[in-house]
Amino acid sequence: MSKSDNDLSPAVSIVGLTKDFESMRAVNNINLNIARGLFYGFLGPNGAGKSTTIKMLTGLMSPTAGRIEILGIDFSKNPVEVKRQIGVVPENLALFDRLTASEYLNFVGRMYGLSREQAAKRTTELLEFMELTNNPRKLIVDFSHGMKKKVALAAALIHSPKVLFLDEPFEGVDAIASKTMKDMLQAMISHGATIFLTSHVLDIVEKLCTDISIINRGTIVAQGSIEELRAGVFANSEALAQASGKKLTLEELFIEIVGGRPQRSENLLSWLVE
Amino acid sequence: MEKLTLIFNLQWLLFKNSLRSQTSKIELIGRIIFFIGSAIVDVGIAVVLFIATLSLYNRPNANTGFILLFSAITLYWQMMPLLTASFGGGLSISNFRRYPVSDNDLLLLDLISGATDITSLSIYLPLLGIFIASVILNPFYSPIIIIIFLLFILFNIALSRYLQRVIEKLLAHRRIKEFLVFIAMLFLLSFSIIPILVFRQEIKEKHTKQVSPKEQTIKTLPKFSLKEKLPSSQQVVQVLSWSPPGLVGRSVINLPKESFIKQLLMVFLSILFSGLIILLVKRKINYEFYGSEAKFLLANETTANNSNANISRDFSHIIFDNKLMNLLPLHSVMIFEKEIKYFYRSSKTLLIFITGTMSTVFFPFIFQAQRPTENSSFFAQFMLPGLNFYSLMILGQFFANSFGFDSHGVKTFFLMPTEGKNVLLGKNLAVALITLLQTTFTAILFHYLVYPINSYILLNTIFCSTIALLAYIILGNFLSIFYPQKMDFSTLSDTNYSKMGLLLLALMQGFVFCMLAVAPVLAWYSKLAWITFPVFAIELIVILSLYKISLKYAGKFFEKRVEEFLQTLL
Repeated sequence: MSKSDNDLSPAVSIVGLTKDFESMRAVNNINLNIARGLFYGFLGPNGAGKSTTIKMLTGLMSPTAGRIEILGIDFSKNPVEVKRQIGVVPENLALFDRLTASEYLNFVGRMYGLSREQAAKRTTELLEFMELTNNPRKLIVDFSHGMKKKVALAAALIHSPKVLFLDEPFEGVDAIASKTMKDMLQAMISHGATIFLTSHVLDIVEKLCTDISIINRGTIVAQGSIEELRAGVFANSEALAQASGKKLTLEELFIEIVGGRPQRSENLLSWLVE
Repeated sequence: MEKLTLIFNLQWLLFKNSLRSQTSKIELIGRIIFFIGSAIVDVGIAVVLFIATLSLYNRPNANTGFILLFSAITLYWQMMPLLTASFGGGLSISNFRRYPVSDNDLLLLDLISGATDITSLSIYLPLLGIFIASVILNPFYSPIIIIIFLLFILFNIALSRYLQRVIEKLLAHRRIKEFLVFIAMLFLLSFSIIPILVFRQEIKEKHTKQVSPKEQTIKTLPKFSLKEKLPSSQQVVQVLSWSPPGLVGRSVINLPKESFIKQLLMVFLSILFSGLIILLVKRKINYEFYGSEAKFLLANETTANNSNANISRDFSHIIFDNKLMNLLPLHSVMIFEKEIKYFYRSSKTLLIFITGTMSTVFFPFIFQAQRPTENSSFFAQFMLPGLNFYSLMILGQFFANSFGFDSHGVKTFFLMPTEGKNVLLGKNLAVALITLLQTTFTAILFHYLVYPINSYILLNTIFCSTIALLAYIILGNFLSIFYPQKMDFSTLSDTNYSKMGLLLLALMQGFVFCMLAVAPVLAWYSKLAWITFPVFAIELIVILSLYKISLKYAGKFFEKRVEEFLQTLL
């Protein structure tokens, strides 16, 4: 058992995380503490800084300032050890598309330190679970987008990570596969794993995640359980509080928190309905 | 026309926006230096051809010479893009299919793309040299010469675009691809074998006169003479004279000697040839866009890929289940395995490999007429090491942009729990294996075609190849990290080697050559042949230590440059 398993440090701890690009600050001094065993949703409108944050958390981007700890291990000091503990389905995936799914999963498994036999066994099981066994000789480049997502998820799981980062994992995945994947992720949570999920499909987030944070213009604008967010919104909005007989959906909460619909001229896009 | 303007404007915007990063600015400087260097060479060739044309005016065989010269130019124009796997100048008309652009506009766009291809650009100045000399010699006929020259250029541009499409389509079939590779290999061998068969007698006589009794044991050449069965050179020239290169070749000097009817016929035929090829290109574009060819290509690409996966299954175990692999870091072995799979699944990488081998096979053909004897120069023993050094120059494309084909997969290297140096080591092992294959192939051909390799030559070759390989890998690792260029895996077009990278590689080649030359020069000067071994051994130890140190630093740079890397390659 590694040191990180013994202590009670949070699964993900972020302090003062900041990322500057040439002329703009994409992520501005964010702080987060995600306890172990949570299914955590990380939401935000387009360009809010979600992908930048998840890239920094997984080692695909270096922060301008701030500290990241995963399972109590400092990312900047021991990136290899952190990477050993996490699984990632990044934005636009990260597949060697001229390999077959089986070859790719074997490759990833071995890279995470599994023996050849272990990697082969887990690959077979994952491919069966993801229903990717129909054409074992097919290269990933010929897969549909949904199938590629499944391969990417299988690759993120093959070493049974303690923390899983998923960037839009259900995008393009059919309903049946999506249900199978969700069930599997829930099972992982029940066994103590932590999942950090970003998605624009708020229905899925609402069903899966216990805790949420919302980022807007590089800053965390709300965080807590969905009930806590509801309470926060009600406290800020008298009108909504008056109508509290109706339970707000996550989508309504989200719109309320990130600033709602902007006022636009009535004539805007009028040519489209002429 | 308006749409074409928009497309060119788009290209300009893409170029302008690509200069935002520091790396791109350095790359632009590299391209400018590369362009200036190429232009200087081109101007030199143009001046030589200009003077040669003027001075050959009254020579009896000048006309034949020009017909052959223009045939060679056509061959170069058509073969170079294939050999360098770089047809396009980055402008692919397939990107504009979705917009309402007419067929004629697409055709024009395609021809413009061909006209600005690096091969075409390298030919214009030499052609201009011949053209100006020709106009000076026959000013009265300059309008006809202009027309024939322009039509010759148009013919070659259109033909290269047409061939590109045909070959890309053929390469979508696995079986045809394999067959083409086989044909290409035969073609390579033909450089060496056909001359032996054709000029058997001459070579034999020369050899008998020159060689010592000891060397008489070298395998004797077959008695069969192909030369008598081939058409005479006169007949070949006769046929060529009515082909597009022949027509332009005849127009250089001979135009006033041709009858008016023949002159008209020459212009007419030039128009006909160019027109036919342009029609073929247009037909091909139409089929790709509206016919069944696009579907056909997709279907076959899938089949090819599936079948390729099948090929990979078994023989990889021979290499990677080897106990020797246990001596290396596991991550490096896994990456090595992945690299080898990528190598033989890409038509482009295979072509680079063939190009290198082709170049090395060409030289034994040149050398075979001058087999070294006991009286030959001491340096003749370094022909094979020299050839291998040359073949490594060609393979430089693998060293200098080793992440080019990884696309989104490159993220895997940063997500995995591994260090940058392990990633680079895996990549380097793959390049070393490819080099070993090429070196072995070259050595075998050399042994049979030039002279038998003895242990002295073999050891020196091993030393030279290893030292050169390590030197290239050291620089290549840094170039791959600092000047990565995205490569399109499935097509032959859009080769994007970093020009700055190529320039640095060229400088490195000069340095490595000088370093390798020290041992033979010392041996020749001291008249102690064995002295090459200790000198090479010292150089090898130095370069190995440098490699070890550089790998550590390159690995760190690789980890630190993750953002720039992903930005460029994705």
